[in-house]
Parts: sequence; structure tokens; C-alpha cells
Amino acid sequence: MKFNFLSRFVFVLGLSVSLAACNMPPEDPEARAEYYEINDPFEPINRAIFELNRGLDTVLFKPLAKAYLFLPEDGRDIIHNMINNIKTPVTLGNDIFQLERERIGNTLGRFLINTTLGIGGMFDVATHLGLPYHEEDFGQTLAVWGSPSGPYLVLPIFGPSNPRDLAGSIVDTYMDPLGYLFSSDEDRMFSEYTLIRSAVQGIDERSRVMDVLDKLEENSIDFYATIRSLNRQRRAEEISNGTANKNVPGPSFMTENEDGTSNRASLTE
Amino acid sequence: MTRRVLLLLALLTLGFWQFAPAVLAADASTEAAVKFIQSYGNDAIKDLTEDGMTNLELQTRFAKYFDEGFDFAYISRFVLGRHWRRATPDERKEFQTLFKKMVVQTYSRLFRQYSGEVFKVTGATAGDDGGYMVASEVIMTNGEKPIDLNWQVEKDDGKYKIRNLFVQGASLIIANRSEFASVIQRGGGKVEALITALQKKTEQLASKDNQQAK
Repeated sequence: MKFNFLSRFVFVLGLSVSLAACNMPPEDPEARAEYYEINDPFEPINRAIFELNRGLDTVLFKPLAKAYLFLPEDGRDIIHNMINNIKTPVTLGNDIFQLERERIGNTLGRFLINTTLGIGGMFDVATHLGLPYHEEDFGQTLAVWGSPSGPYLVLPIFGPSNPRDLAGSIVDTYMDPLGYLFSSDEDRMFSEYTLIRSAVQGIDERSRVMDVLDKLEENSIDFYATIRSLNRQRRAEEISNGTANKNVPGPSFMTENEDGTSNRASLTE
Repeated sequence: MTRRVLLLLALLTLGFWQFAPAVLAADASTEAAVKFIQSYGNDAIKDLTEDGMTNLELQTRFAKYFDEGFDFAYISRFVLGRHWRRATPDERKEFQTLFKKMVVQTYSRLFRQYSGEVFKVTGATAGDDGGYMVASEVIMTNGEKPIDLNWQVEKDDGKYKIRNLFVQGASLIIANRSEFASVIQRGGGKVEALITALQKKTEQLASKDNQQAK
């Protein structure tokens, strides 16, 4: 029921946004290339939601994350490890969808070791045994399958995203076996389980980037644009499983044209 | 019993899939680039984390390291992107001065929080155009995962120069370029708008440093 309402709401919102607040492609060819590279036609409304999120962060999420940091580190690590362990089935499913043979074994091994030796996922024994943590989600799977990301979107509360990742996160919710255990079919997206899990996960994540985000904001002259670029690059790195920038890809690598523009840069963002 | 079976299963799984990290091969050509980055990083950590330095002293030393190791002529052109050509010589000069000031202010601070992290080069690859990508990591002291740093290095006149730094896969000069382009676009397409914003930011950072010094 709720989902129905939300989807209608998103549709109407999307329609009105695309009609009203849309940046049109500029005439100048270079400006046009930049426009497509930035891929943010809804920038005005994205910026508005970004500011809203910053406000929410100041009054709600940051104080909560700060309070969370009062917990002893061992306790926070246990919470963090348990969340990671709960996410493993979804990661495994996406490892399989992406045919990442090595990672399937890694995820399976981690789940078995941490659920047993790690006492229900409280301790990350697997990392010490040489199986580091990684995450895969359906947004990444779609990217690997060749789906384009679509335009940059800033979602209320959830922050930077795009249609591909948004669709991916809905699929992930339906891939989580615990969701079937703790919620009913019509209530999956907004079940108590999903909400509590997302809230704990969000606060845990926020507490881990406390310093980094403060610095980034302090050092930016356009925080929105910085976050947009870094987020997109981080996502590309996650999709390529960290190989995006490990190798120097041939002669055109970051070479500079006569006019000071770069060949490769437009490909990497 | 179940637990033992599971463990056995886990160990079997591990056996089937290799999980050793791929070690980047270092041959003679990449070796020199690796050495350059390793000693550059070590020297910087040694020199810039000395106790009892004033902000000014730290920034002066950082600026020296930055000038020695980084190809600032390339970087400053790159981050201005297509606006570099449109900028007047005066604007270019002013932009470069302010941009460098901001880089020095923001990055020198990182060394203030140094608490024994280890800088380790893990490998390098050579590109066809004479450039190198040197991979390294900063091993944290607080138990968090190491931070991946990749350095794009070019050899110019027999001297190595850093052109770009990737932090956890994110290119810093691309982030900067994207940010600056946005400031210019929102300022009506004028490079002047970026210069004003940089002026404001560097002043703000300087006054913050002064406050902390007091």
C-alpha cells in the first residue's frame, strides 16, 4: 500500500521536476560536453534536496552519530560486523549475478566463518583469516550488465543516487532473506526490519566519516559539486571492484590536448 | 558438530578459490618510480610531522615538498579545464596562486593529525606514454582499513613529477575540476567567480589557522 503511494508520489515528482526545473543542454559544444559529463539535469532540485539533507544532518544524523560514538569501540565494532554479516546474502546474490568467481567464494567463506566462529556475525574472524569484506549490490550488478546510470539524483535522507542505484536498492530489499523472515510481502520496502536496519546502518556509517565529511566541507568551495564528483568516482570504483584506476590504460592516459583539455578525464567521471 | 562441518566447508571453499591479492610486478622501469614515491612519502612524513612546528612553518615546508614533487603547471591547467583558454593571463596567474595556497592550507593540515600511520608502496605499472601509476597504501593505527593511494607519475627532464593522486580510487584533480567548473558555471561562466570564491576560502582557512594558533 505504502509502496503504491510512494511510487505514485515519485512519478508525479519526477514528472513535475523534468518539466519545470530541468537544466537544458547548452549550445556551445564544449559546455555541452561538460553538461553530459556532469549528467545532472535536475541540479536545481538536487541542490535543494542536498541542502535539506544537510539541515537534517545538522539537527539529527550528526548528533545521533556523535552519541553513537560514546559507545565503547568494541561495541560499535560488534554492531558494524553484524550489519555487514546481515548484508552478506545480498552481496552473495550479486556476486553470483556478476559471475565473480573469486568473490563468491570469499563471500560464502566469510558468511560461514563469521556466523559460526564469529558468533552470529559479532566478530569478523574471516578478515583475519585473509578474507576481506566487500559489498555488492544490485545497482552494481545492473552496471556490470551494461545498464547506464541515468542522471544524478539526490534523494531525501538517502543522499546521492541515480535511477540505476535506486532500482538496485529496491531489488536488494527483495533479495534479503531476513526481510522475508521479519516482514510481510506487502510491507517489504518499509517494514520495521528494513527501517531499523537502515537507521542503524546509516548512523554507523555516518559515525565513521565524521572527520572526513567535516574536512571535505571545510575545504570545498562548492560542497555539492565535490560530493557529486567524489560519489560518482567512488561508485565507479565499486562497480569495477577497485580496478578502475589501478592500471595505466595506454597512451591516452590523462594526456593533455593542445588546448588544455584532457582526453581521459571525461571517461573517468 | 554442525559447527565443525561448517568450518570444514568454509575451509574447503577457501581452498577452491584463491584469494591472494594480485601483486603488481615491479620491473626495472617501474622500480625507479616506486623508489621515488616511497622516498618522497617517507621524507614528507619525517619532515612534516616534527613536533612543535607553527602553522606557517608547516605550510612553508609543505609548499616546498609540493613544488618539488608535483607538476603544478599541469595540475592547475587541468583543473581549470576548458576555462583555462578563456582565462586572461592575469586570471590564470591569480588562479594558480590562490589554488596553490588552498592546496597548501588544506593538505598540510593532514600532517597535523599524523599518529604513526605507515606509508607503503605496493606496486607500480608503466603506461605506454612513459607515465607510471604507483600504488601505495597508508596503514592506519586505529584499526580501520588501509587507505589506498595511487600516484600518477610522469618523468620530465629525468625528474619524476606527480600529476594526480587517487584516494580510494577517486581522482583528486577530477574532483577539483568538477567543483571549479560548477563554481564558474554558477557564477555566470566567469573565471572571476572562481577567483573570488578561492579568495574567500583561503582567507577563511587562514583565519581559522590563526584562531587555532592562539
